[in-house]
Amino acid sequence: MKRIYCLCAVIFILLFMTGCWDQDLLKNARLIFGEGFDLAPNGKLQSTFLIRDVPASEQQSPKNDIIFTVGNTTRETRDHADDQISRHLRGYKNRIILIGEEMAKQDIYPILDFFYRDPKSALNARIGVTKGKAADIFSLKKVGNVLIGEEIDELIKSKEETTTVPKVTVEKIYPIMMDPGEDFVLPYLVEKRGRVDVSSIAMFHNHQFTGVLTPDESIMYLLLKDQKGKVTRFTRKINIRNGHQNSNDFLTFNVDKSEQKMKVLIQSGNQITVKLDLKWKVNIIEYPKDRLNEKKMVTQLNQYLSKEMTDLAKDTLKKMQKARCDGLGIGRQLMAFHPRIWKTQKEGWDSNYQKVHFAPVIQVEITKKGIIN
Amino acid sequence: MIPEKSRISQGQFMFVVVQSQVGVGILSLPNKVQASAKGGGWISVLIAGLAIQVIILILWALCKQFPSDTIYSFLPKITGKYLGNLLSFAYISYFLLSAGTVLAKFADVVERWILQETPRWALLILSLLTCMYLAMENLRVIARLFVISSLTIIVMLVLTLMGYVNVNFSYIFPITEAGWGKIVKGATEALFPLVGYEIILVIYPFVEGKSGGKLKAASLGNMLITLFYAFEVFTCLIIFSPAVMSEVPEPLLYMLKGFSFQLIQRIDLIFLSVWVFVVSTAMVAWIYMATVGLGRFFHRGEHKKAVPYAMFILFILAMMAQEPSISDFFDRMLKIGHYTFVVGLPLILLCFTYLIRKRRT
Repeated sequence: MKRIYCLCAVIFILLFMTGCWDQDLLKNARLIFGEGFDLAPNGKLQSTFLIRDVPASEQQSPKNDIIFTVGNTTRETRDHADDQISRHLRGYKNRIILIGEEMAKQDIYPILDFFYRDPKSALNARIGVTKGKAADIFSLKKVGNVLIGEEIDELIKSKEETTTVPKVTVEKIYPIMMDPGEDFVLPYLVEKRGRVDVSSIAMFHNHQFTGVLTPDESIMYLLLKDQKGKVTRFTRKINIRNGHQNSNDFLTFNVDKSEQKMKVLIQSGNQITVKLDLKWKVNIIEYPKDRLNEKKMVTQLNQYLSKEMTDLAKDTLKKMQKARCDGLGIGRQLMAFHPRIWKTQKEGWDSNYQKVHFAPVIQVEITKKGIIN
Repeated sequence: MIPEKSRISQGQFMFVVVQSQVGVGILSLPNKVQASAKGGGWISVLIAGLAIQVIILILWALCKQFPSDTIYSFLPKITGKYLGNLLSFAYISYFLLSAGTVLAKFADVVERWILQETPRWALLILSLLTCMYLAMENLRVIARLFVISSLTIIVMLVLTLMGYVNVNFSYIFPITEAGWGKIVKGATEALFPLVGYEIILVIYPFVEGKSGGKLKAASLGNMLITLFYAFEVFTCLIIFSPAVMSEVPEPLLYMLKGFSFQLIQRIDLIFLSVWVFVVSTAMVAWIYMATVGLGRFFHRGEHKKAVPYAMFILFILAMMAQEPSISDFFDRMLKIGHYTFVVGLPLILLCFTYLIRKRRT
C-alpha cells in the first residue's frame, strides 16, 4: 500500500510540474493575426504586426492593434514588437503573411525561414504579395465593418473558390520553393480606394517576384495547372458573323468541368515541347444578344470560344515564360521522366525554360445554358 | 516450465512483434532512406522488410530447437555455462542500450516539437514511470495492452492519409535515380527503425501452439509493419520535393503541421500523442527482454524485481545521450550490436546446434 501511495504522489507531482515549464496561457499572450514584410529604405526589413485582442465579454467586438518595427531579420523585428507591447507576442494563430512588392523582388526565403523552423508557428497561414507596401494594406484597419485581418483572410479564401488565386499556405509552397524544377505563384493583393482587391496572381521565380498575371490569365493558369475551384467564370466579347448581321456582344460562361492533360515531349535537337490538352464543359450564364436554341449557333460558339481560350492560354504561357516562372513544373517533369535531358538543361534552366515550346489546345463544349434557351 | 498466466496466444504474439517494431524510427525514417535511396526509398523499406523476414526465419529456427527455453536459458546449453552466461549478459546490455536509445530519441523529439521548456529529466521520468508500470506485469498483460494499442497504428494511418490532399507523384520519379546499389544501402538504414523483432528470442517459449504457427504470426506482424512503414515513407516522398526532404528530419510530423481541421489546428500534436503510446510499448518490449534476463540471473526468474534498477540504467543512458556525440556513439554501437547479436550470433549458434545434433545421432 505504501508503495502505491508513493507512486501516486510522484505521478501527481510530475504531472503538475510539467505544466510549470511549458505553460503558455492565452491570457498572457497577444496573438498575431497577420504579419507584413516590407523593404525599409535602408535595406532593412520592416515588419507590420496585426494583433488581435479578444474582448473579455462577448458583447464587445474584437479589436485590432498594429505595430510597425524595423530590424534585420523576421525574428528580430518580432522581438522589437514584443518590446513595445504588454504581455507576450505569440504567432501560433497567425492567419496571413503579406509581403510587399519591393521585398518580394528580393529572395523571400530568408523571411520565411523563421516560420519553417519554429515548431509553434502556424504553417497553415495564407500568404500573398501586395502591390505597394504590405503595411499600407494593414493600415486600412477596417474594410466596411470587417477588421482588415479577417477581411483579407476571408477574401483570399473566397477567391480560391472562384479559381482566381491558387490555394497556397506557407507550408504548401515550401516543397515547391526548394525544388529547382518548379516555381510557385501567390495571390496578388491591390488596395483600391480603401478596399482590398484580390483578382490576380503574382509569379515567382527562384523565390523572387517576377511578374503579375491579369485576372483572366490567372484563371487560365489555374485551369492549365488543373486546379479548378468551385466556380470558374470568363466573360468574353463575341464577334461572330451570323448570316448578314454582325452580332457584337458579350458572353459570360462558367467552366463546369475541365479535363487537363499535359505531355512533355522531347523533339530532335533537344527542343522541349509541352502539349496541353484541355477539354471544358461550359455553362452559359449570360448572353443577352442571341438565342441558343439553334444547333448551328452553338457549334459556332463552341469553335469561337475554343479559339479565344486557346489564344488566352498562349498569352498566359508566354507571359509566364517572360517572367521565367515555371509554374506548371516543366522542369519537374523533365527531372522525373526525362532525367537525361534534364542533366543537359539543368544549367541555365532559367533561360532554357524560356525556349520551351508550349502547344495548348482548348476545346470548349457548351453543355448547359441556364433555364432559358 | 512456463507458468499458465504468462502464456500468450499466437494472435497476441503477432501484435507483440508489431508493437516492438514500431518505435521512434518511423518519424525520421523517410528522411534517412531518402538521403541515400532518393525516390526509391519506399523500395528500400520493402527490401529491409524482406531481409528481416530472413532474419526472423533464422531466429525461429534457433528457438525451435529449444521450445521451452528463452535465449537466456538455451545459450548455456549450446555454448557451455561460462560463455553462455557471458553472452546472456551481452544480450541484456544490447537490449538495455536499445531501450535507452529509444528513450533518448523519444525525449529529443518531444523536446523539439512540444515541450521545449520542460527539462529532460522530467520527461524521462514521466515516460519511464509509465513504462515501469507495464513492464512489471507478466507477459500476458503486456501482450493484451499491445493488442489494444495497435489501434493507434490505424489512427496514425488515417492521419497520414490526410496528406494526400496535396501530393505530387512526380517527386518520386525516376524511381531508380539513385541506382540499385544506393537503394540497397537505404535498406540497411531502414533496418534499424524496424528492429524489435528480436523479442522472438525471449518470448518464443511463452507462445502457445505449434512452431509453424508461431513463425506465421511473427512473419505476418513483420509484414504488416513493413507495409505500414513503406506507406509512410511513400507518402512523405510524394509530399515533399527531394530538396526539402533533406531539410526536414521528421517529414511525417512536418507534413501534418500544415493541416488543420475546423476544431483542431495542430494535427501534428495529435499524431505525436498517439505516437507516444506506440513508443512506450516499444520501450516496454525492450525493457521486458532485458529484465527477463536480469531476473533469471539475480531474482530466480522474477523479472519484476529487475525492472526498477533497469529503469535507473535507462535513465542514465538517456541523460547521457543528450550529447550528440554520445548519442552517435550509441547509434554506432547499436548497429554493430544488431548485426552481431541478432544476425551473426544466432546464425552461428544455429549451425552449432545442428552440428551437435548430428554428432549425437
